[in-house]
Amino acid sequence: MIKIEICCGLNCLAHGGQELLDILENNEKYKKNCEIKCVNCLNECGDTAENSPVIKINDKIYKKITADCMMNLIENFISK
Amino acid sequence: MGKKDLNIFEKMRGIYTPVTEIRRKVLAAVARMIVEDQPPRNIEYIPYQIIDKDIPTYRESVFKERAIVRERIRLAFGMELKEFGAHGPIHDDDVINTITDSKILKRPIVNVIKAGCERCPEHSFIVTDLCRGCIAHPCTSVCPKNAVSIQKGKSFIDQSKCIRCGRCAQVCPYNAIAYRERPCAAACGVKAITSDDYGFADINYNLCVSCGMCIVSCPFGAIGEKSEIVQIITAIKKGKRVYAEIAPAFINQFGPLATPAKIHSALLKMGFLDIKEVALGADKVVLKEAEELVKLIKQKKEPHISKDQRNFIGTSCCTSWKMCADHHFPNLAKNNISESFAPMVETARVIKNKDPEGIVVFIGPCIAKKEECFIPEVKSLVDFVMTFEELVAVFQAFDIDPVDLTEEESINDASSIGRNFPVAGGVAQAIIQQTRALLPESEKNCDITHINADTLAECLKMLKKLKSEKYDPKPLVVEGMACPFGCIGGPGSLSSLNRAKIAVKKFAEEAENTLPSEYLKKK
Ligand code: SF4
Ligand code: SF4
Ligand code: FES
Repeated sequence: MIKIEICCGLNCLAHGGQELLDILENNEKYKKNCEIKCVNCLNECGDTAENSPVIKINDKIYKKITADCMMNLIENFISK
Repeated sequence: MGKKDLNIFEKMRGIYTPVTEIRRKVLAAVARMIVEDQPPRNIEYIPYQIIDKDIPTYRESVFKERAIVRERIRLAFGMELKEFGAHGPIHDDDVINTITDSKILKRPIVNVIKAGCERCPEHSFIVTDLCRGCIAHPCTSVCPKNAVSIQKGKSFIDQSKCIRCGRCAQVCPYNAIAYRERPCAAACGVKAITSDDYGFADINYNLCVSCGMCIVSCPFGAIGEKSEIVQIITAIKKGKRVYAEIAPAFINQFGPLATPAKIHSALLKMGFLDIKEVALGADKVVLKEAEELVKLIKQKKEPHISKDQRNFIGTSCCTSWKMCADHHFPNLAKNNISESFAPMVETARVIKNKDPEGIVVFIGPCIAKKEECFIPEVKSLVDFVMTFEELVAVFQAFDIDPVDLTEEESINDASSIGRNFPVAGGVAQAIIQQTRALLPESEKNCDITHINADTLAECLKMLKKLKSEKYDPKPLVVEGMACPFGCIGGPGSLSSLNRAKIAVKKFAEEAENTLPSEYLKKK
């Protein structure tokens, strides 16, 4: 099981975090292989949200991550 | 086969794009400037904070990128745009005048930032390079205007003859003929967007009802709305007695972890004295409209036909729908659309009754509410309007994250019917349920027919059919909503539709009372 934590803090909410959550929740394959959790601010966003959205995959932080990047990462983990 | 065609404003919905990013960063930067009491001249730094690269990211040059950000900043302060040729520093006397706790907003609310408009081609059919110049070339045979010919081995459409019927596109075996439209104009259900002499998008303010759909549909982010966050923050910082009323669509807008109670705490922490659910006003509106319906049902039983008799109850809570109906079908609207004001106004009345000097801020997904505040009676009750998206920026500026706060008290101002308002169809259902409860026992199960439409284009179609009496049976309740899927699809919302829908339903179920009459009586 891949552990994914999506930051639902304010900065990440404003800058694309929720949309990442939508992608995960609407994808059967990801839902089957990942344990998706919504978490409070991970304290990595920066003062002006310059690093948002932030997510954690298997305890590793990824900053300013885009949807395609996140999907690539997850695919990699799944195929491992 | 491809996916189903999406409505223009559904296309980019729920997708986080650089356009969204810039819009939100500007709002947050402006809010921060006021929260931190920075001097007005600091406004000149914001474009450099937002566009901080030395090479262009979005347009042909960083200078243009910054010029557009400048205009967005002016809108965020609530100022007028500076048109071409009038470019000067953004920091002029206007800025100092905006840092006040009184209302400065002027019409129009929705503005085309001409510097950012890419003059998208107006709607037309074009031959794409999928055209193989086939031997059959059916496109040339079906055009009623003889506008299609084969030139240099490919199909060619003479735009001066084309009437955009789409027949050629329909018959092309390769789907090589595509329909292209201007996103802003396609999004506008009342056809208010045309071109100016230079081909830039231009809004006809006689038709515009400030629904905001063009704002969220322009892929270049060239349309924006004026904001009142600067004046709201100033009022709070000056220690004025500021109250918030929050629209029923607020559930889940601030993420799955920000529960209603936490949002409540966050607003209090920001400096609002008290927070009311707009669903309370919705309850009052439902009750009023249900009473009108009971009267109408009685009237219908004894039909003495007079010409301007009321035929149905038209809902009145959506500002854009009401404006659009008033403009295009004045008689129909006058006779049938309820006189009651929007829930926003009714809720504000409750607050102002308690504290006439208090400042009332409406928080919702809606941009048209900013327009509604120009109506004198509304103006005296609702002082400012801010969207959910703007509120997020203000939270960011105050460094308040609802998710981090403890839940103190939850909001509990309304019945489940009032809370169901923001989903298309919800208002009509609410009125019907409440009416049944008011009707005498013998009539409780009588037929109450209703119709509803969302998006302005659909609303107009519905009104047209109503006028020519095409509905059978004739509807008693008519609900119109300008935003797709209702308020939860509003231009100032953040949550995905699905999650918003589920959350609104759940929150409605949590209300202690089902019917407005029960809840309002209890008070
Ligand atoms: S969609 Fe945007 S860029 Fe295109 S014409 Fe309309 S306002 Fe201009
Ligand atoms: S009616 Fe709506 S879509 Fe049309 S111009 Fe006005 S705000 Fe834009
Ligand atoms: S809000 Fe996501 S890391 Fe701070």
